Amino acid sequence: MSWQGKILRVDLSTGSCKSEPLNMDWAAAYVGQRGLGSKYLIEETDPNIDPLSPDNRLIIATGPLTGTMASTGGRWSVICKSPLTGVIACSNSGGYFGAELKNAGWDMVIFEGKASKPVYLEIKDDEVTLHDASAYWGRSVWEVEPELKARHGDPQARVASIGRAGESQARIAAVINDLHRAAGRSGVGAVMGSKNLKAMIVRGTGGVSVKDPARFMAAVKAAKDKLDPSERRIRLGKFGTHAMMDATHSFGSLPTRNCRDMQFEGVKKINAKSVTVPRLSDGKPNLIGTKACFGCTIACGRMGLIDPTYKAVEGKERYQKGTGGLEYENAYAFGPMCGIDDLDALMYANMVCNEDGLDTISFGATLSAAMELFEIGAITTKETGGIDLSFGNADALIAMVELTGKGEGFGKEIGMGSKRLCEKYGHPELSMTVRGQEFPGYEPRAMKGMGLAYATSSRGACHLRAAPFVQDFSSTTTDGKAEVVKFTQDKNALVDSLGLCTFPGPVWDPADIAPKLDAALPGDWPVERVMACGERIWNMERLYNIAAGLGPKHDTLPDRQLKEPAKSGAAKGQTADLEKMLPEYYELRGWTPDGNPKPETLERLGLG
Amino acid sequence: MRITVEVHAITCGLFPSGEGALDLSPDTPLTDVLNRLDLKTDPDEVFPALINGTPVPPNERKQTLLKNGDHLVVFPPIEGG
Repeated sequence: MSWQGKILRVDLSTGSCKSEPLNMDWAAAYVGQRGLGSKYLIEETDPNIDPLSPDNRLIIATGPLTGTMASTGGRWSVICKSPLTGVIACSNSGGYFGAELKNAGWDMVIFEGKASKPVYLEIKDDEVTLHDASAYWGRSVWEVEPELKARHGDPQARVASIGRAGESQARIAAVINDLHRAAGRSGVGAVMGSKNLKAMIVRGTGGVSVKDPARFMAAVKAAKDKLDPSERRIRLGKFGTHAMMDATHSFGSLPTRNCRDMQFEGVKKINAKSVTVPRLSDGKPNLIGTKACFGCTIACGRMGLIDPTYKAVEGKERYQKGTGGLEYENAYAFGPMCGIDDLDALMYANMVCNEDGLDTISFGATLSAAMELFEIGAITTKETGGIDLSFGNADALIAMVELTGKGEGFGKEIGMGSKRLCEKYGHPELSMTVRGQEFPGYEPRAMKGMGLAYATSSRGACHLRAAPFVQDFSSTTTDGKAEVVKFTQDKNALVDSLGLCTFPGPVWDPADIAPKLDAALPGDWPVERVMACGERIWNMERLYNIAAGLGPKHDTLPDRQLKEPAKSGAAKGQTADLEKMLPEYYELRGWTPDGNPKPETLERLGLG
Repeated sequence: MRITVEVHAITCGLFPSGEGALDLSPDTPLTDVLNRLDLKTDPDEVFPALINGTPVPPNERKQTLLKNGDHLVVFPPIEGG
């Protein structure tokens, strides 16, 4: 109960689809979703496989609370070895797809091998069928999702698919569900494309049972009663994550022009307030509403509407209706990172990334690296096909997102990601990445804890593996940062394994989470046990990454953050000070000075 | 003396538009100014405050005194996504 107790294994090479029991010993130790999916990947694959070979797994994993009444219980993850970073990939999404899969009776779907021709998977509770997807290959997410629902005569089915970026195995390709929710990071869409798997369509009617329904509902209500009146929740629903842009700009931690600057002069044209201002053409603002994922009482999601007279969408009806709007990360990556202050260009780029299945952060940050390469003459219009890649050129953003989405022209090179692009053109130092994954919208020179979080993240630069926001915005020193990074890494590893969202953040501490598990799952789940699960998962990911070739030299940041002092903002004159935090972090983790988990640490966590 | 104020993404009773100017007695502590802003925050919440771009940690706000012409920025400890 709460777990469905079974997984679906799909061998794409042979076309077989088999149900098998969930390994309950592993479930008890790794909980679900991120933790349990990673455990299956690690047990079933060699860490040195080529991520785009049939040897890789593509694991679609729910958590025990996915699809239950628990608030924010709509999360699910895609797990595989990453073609972008070469280490573990676990990319988390919301929307409704995960809850539908869980209600169909499956904790996970494990894809292995490679289909000989394009296929998609249909799941209707226990009925599972692989279908020919030749008619859908080469077409966008926005075309395929409604067509699959129509073909199967079920508008309430849920679809996750790849676009043309995933088909062309762009290493920054995403898996998109519910039209505009993304398992975005680490190139999981490329792995799906490498397997010739176009889509999954799911309908689940079975529900999810829990151990003690009355106690579970009491625990859910107690957590909701704490979350709902909190100003944190109210603000997130009212302003969305986009509100972060004024904060990072004011603080001087808004990565701008490939991190050369940390404040953006055009911020007021693209911030959270700008999307509420009615425009001249039709009197409407960009922001037309909010949206929530399954079971969510926050509703941080934005619905946006581009100016219908904007040059990029003239005559293109599919872009002239409400769709997923600007959040902080996509707005940062298309905007300040590329020096662009054209709100509609940002909105257009966001729509194309959803339509063709691209990670918005990696696309924007890679384009910004290309813009710096262009500025120093390392690439010219000869390579770009005549496109002027100057910082600030909105037309370049429009052209490059279209080409990258389709995997054509210079877009194919952007699709490799920033690290490979900068290496190819002789300037690896211009890649703002950790382990090959592009920076989210927080500059490590000003936000020291976030710098440590990037450097030690199990999946490369990431703003969701740890949450040192409060401490970072309080001070630009390194004091206490290692401790908060370690604690929130463990906490988020747990939350990402439950089927819940990390956005309740500090409103829910582990004592608010444990009672839900204790009422839902077999056995006892006190706070100590659930936090140990988070720490165990973090260390398991570390061991996999070390086996895949990760060494102490990889726990670092680009030279720009380590050696070039910040030009402005709260951290003016400072660098990331990573060397001050890493030894303390390793000590707190129970790792050696080289970053390897000590035998006694592994023993304590049951990983020995 | 006069200071200018910017409040981002927090409902502010004193400045509903999120910005304005405030006349103060010389050397007013930052904590007094924050109280006057009437910010909607959770009781346990630690929200960032910058004076002329420099963050003032919560434990230094009582003894931090505003000066004429200072620019105060306040925003919530929002988490990105």
